[in-house]
Amino acid sequence: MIEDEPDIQNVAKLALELVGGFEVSIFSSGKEALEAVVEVSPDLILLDVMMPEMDGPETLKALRGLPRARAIPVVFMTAKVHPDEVAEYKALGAVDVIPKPFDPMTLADQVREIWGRL
Amino acid sequence: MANEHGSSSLERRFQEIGQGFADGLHDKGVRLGQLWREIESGNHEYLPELHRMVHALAGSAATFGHDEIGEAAHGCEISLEPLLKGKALPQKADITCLGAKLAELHQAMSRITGHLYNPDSPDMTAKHDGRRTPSGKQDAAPVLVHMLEGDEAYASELRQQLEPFGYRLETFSGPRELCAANASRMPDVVILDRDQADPGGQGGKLLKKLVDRCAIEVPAIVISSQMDFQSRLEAVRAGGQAFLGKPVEIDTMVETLDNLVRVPSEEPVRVLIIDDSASQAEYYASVLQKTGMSTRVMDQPDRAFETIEDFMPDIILMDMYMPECNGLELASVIRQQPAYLSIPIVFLSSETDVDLQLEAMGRGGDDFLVKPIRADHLVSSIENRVERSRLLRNLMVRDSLTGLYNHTTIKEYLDREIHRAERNGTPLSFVMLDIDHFKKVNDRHGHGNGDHVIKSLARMLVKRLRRADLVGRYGGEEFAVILPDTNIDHAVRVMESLREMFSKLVFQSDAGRFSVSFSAGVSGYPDFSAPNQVMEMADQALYRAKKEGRNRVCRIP
Repeated sequence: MIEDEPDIQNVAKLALELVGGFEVSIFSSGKEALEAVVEVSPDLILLDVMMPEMDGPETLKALRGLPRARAIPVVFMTAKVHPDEVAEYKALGAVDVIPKPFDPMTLADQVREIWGRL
Repeated sequence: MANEHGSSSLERRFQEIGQGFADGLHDKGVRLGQLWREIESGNHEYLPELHRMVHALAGSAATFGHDEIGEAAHGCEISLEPLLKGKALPQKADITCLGAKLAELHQAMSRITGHLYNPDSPDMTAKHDGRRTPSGKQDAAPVLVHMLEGDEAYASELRQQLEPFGYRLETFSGPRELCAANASRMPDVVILDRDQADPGGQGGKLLKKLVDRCAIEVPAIVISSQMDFQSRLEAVRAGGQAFLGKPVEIDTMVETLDNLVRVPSEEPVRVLIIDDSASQAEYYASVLQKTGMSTRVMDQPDRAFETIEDFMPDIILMDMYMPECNGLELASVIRQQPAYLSIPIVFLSSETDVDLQLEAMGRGGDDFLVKPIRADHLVSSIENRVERSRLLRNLMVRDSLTGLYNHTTIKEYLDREIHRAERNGTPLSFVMLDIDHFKKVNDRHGHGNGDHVIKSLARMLVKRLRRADLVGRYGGEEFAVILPDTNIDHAVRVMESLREMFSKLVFQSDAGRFSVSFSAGVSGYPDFSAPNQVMEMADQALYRAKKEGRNRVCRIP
């Protein structure tokens, strides 16, 4: 997961690990994530859209530029979830969008559902 | 695997993280206040940072259970959109709208942080030199007053005396210095000592020149030791809006300042929209929000009472025909409650039948708007109704001398707020205050000055407490304050700070200068759960405060 806000990081990690049973690695910026992504080799990336310095779409573009990270499915997390906007995000290369603010109790289910559809 | 931890311990851990979020809110609030002041002064380069902050809040607050903050932040985001797009200079109306939305956000945030709008906690008060730089006041920024005054001692005292009322006074000894200061940062009001501006007494010409040169856009108060007709006339000709005689009574000065300075963030109009069609309701909501109104949409009539009690709408916009119950029936049900007899209800309908329209009015509606409704028509209908309704309501619920809520209303509000505290699981504090030795003040200084003291305390309480706090005049020299979302520890700290501040005010009468103090008793929910219990306990605490020597704050428990 790539997310700059510490409180959200903590809640999401808790929700995904304890409720979903997922293994979670968190990075505070696109830059940090890019440095570690190949080594961590995640199955799925949750990517916050609005971050300082390098935002979601820019990070996604950079990820697509890395040969060993290109194929990892990316899900955006953002408040903008108009159908048009979702289509735009998908056109950029994301497989889906999870709306913010998210409900910590159902976040794991949302992720599981997206994973199932891949 | 997934559920090895019971869901209650999981929730507890979420709550802990949520507490971390809540703890961070105060600083965010301070920063938001600073950003708003910059933007309001025209420094629009701070807009992107503001946008990032409110966007982050909109996207995270509800995750921690703070839906109200999230929604308010989202409202700010929406009002920021026209300001961020395009190269055109931001429009004043858009800035005003943003200000209104930010005020709502601050209010929502302060319900959680429970802070005074002036974060002047006792530890920060220290030396009361009066020249404190406002550190991001969350609601209304202190009013900036520039004054031409050569008497440094007088100026310093005035500065100290005005501060508890939210006025920041800066003084300048000469016209040139004043003009330079105004050029650098235009104040909200200017006070001109005529004896200073026009020492030679050139018929007020110099005074007029001064006003023309650097104070033409702001209200000006002229003060003078000469109160004759000629002096007054000159003040008017010079462009002064008010004329006060020296030495100026603090209460008079504050009242004059209050009248001249328009408070930018008047309580936004709250509109409750009841319509089963979500898209219609959202459309009306967005039209009204653009003008700075606060809206809530409801599509289930059965939650009407809860929503009304919680949201306290100024007006209800109601669709006539809804599947579960029609508008007329719902209006009748709402009007059954005596407390809701006075809320204006406006029906919306495509009904053009005049007879049915009249029936609607008869059943408790105040107006009837026929769909499709023009946006400007909707807005003006609501604005007019609410203005009248607020004036009427104020006559009923407020004390005429102080403008505070009257005895009956405060009791009603305490009832309502305790119910809300029960529903939301939040604490509430209730304070009873009584001015010490008030009879002596009246006897020694006259009832007129006694009234001044009462008005000053009332003003100070209102200015220094949050907008969510309810201040009432309970009796002659007795006041009551309801502090929602505040635990007793915090309430005591707040009242201590106010007690100190009030005891330092200096009043003037023919018999001489004098100061006054108050005693206070604090109690609250959930320590006590019934409204009359809470009141009784606060009263007993007040009694103890008097017994133990007065000029203090006591609490039960």
